[in-house]
Amino acid sequence: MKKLLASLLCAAMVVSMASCGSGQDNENSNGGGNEGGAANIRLALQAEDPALPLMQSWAEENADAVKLDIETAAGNDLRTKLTTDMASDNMPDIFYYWTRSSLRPFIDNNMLLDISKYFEKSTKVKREDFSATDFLAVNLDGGETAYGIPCGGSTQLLACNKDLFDQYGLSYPTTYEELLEVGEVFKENGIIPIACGSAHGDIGYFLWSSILYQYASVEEVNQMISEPDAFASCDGAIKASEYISEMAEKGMFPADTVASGDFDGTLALFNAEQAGMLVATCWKISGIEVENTDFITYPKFPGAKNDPAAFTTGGANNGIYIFRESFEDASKTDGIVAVMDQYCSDEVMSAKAENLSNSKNLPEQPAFMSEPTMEKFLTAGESLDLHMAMWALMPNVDSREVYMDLMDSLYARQLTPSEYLSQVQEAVNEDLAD
Amino acid sequence: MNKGKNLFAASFLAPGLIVFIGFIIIPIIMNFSYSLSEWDAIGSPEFIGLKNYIDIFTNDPGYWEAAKNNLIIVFFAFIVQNPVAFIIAWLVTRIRRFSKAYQSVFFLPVVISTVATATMFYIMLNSDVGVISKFLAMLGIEYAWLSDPKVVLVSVIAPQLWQYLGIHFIMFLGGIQAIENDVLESARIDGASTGCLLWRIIVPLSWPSIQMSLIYTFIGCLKTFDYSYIMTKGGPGNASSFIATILFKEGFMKNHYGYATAIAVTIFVYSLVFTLIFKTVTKKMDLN
Repeated sequence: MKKLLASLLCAAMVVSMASCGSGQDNENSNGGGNEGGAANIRLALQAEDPALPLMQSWAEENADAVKLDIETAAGNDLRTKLTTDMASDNMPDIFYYWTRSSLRPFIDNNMLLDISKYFEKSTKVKREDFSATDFLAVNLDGGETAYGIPCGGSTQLLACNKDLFDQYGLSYPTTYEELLEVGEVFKENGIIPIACGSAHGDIGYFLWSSILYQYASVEEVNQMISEPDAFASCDGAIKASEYISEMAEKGMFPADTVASGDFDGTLALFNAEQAGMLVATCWKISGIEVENTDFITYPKFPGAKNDPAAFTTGGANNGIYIFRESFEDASKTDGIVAVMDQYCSDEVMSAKAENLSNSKNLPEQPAFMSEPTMEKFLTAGESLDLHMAMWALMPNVDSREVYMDLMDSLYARQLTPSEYLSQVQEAVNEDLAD
Repeated sequence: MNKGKNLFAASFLAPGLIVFIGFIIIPIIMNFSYSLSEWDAIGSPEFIGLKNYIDIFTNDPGYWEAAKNNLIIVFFAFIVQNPVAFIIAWLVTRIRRFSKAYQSVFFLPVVISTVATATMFYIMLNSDVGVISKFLAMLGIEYAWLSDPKVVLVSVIAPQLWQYLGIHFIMFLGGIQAIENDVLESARIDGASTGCLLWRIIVPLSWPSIQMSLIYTFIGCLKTFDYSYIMTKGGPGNASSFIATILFKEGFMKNHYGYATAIAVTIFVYSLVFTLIFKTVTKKMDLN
């Protein structure tokens, strides 16, 4: 009797372990499949995507037609999640991702759908609905094929705490010398001049890129990332690295450029009025709590060839993409088109405009774009030319990671500008040789 | 009868064995095979022989900088964390009242999520706003704790030595409590001082737990990743990177999966070699 009972228990254990595994397989498989007629579609988004609640409620309302599984990861962790999915041959059907060099592994391995095929199928969304300029970010090397739909991007300006400037009788700096003078006054009063640092490159590469374009034209920048040994010899790159290093030396940044230097850390310092200025990227504008915030373009650095008052840096950093194999699976095509139609709808894109992650031309300006701080930001940046920030332009993932990693060392004064440039150049040369 | 017993035993061992083989042994074998390949997670791995290992040992200064950091954390874990844990365990065995409470207090940090603890120290050590850094600045010890390459490794090592002290404390506590009271009483009657008791009787007799703790320490220090990644992403540069941080960056940020698995294999080999050598060298120290 005891043996029988023990054997039954053992069998129950084995069965329960086997059924544990099979449940997960059904959810994660991208090998097609319908449940009672509804296509199983997997959508991967960032956890902070303003579209998320709308997509979730749409999924509930349309469960009969599409069984939509939404997978999320916060910020850059989405990249790690999708890399893992890629390695385990378990790509989501539709996913939010970054642009330009980030797409290379996908494009080289024919994983992304030529988005024109989606537009051909869709009756609700057309390419003309979106910014033509932003579409440049979802292809590679200036090619005609677009591999996704751009989802807005980054523009950035220098945010200034007007109250702090007024308190110390300061004017907004228009030159590098004025910037340093403002910085001295702030430092004497225990205020960090510029909330900007580098934690794996964020947000420091924005400031670096802004200085770069003061000395280099767009053509020169394209040349520096497409020709061997051109990166470290580009005047813009040299000046950007040297001025970053000099400003770090002069205490213009937080003391802890790694811990306080990323998007959230710098915003927290600015909101706590511990910093007078902030490198403000568009998706952080709605998080600015300082009421009297003004936005200015970057000061002109000595000997700059290009007027910083005429441009900003950023560009379409992200897009929504379709896994080619899923689209070509007849059982999933209609489901994918339906999900994409919803994601690209005016309703969802209006929500995404909250952090300016929207490239669609909307019939009406969303209400929050009239909020004072956001309105000031949009007004300050409306007539500026947009140049791609260096992050997105690096030839491949390897050199991009080196560029970003070593940016921390540049801001932390662990590397000299020439050491920084030579190490990045080495990585660029390796990528170009591959 | 015996055959029936064996079958009975096997039926209970089978599920655990299947899990062990499926989730431990097979992945280790697959790991070895991926480490001999170049693979960016798309398509099939391309066999390249020992190239990954050659690159690790001859062409990756970041790996060696990280390995040096691993040795540093092992050093401090051996000479600070373990002795402190042992002494605390010994003191707790000498306390009559509230010894259970002390055990809970010292073990409590272990059960807190590593992510939560690392994030907490990340905030507290921030030299712009962190409470620990502000306190230290008042004492004249002012550094950019998470940005200055001279001190960032200390910032990343100290919290994890603190958090995991409780595990070694419990191991040592078990080892000390397993010593028969008669032995200690005899020593006291013979006039052994407290120090003599500790050093000549308690330490030798609790050697199995010490040995296990040191092996566990070494392997844990080789695998350490969380604090480095959460607090500084291994930066600035590789100043606070460990081998596992380099592994993560190579695999998940650069898509060099073959190279990353080769790094994982080196961690495995170091752990195995250390365990074998340590157990062999210290075999005679086990008085039991």
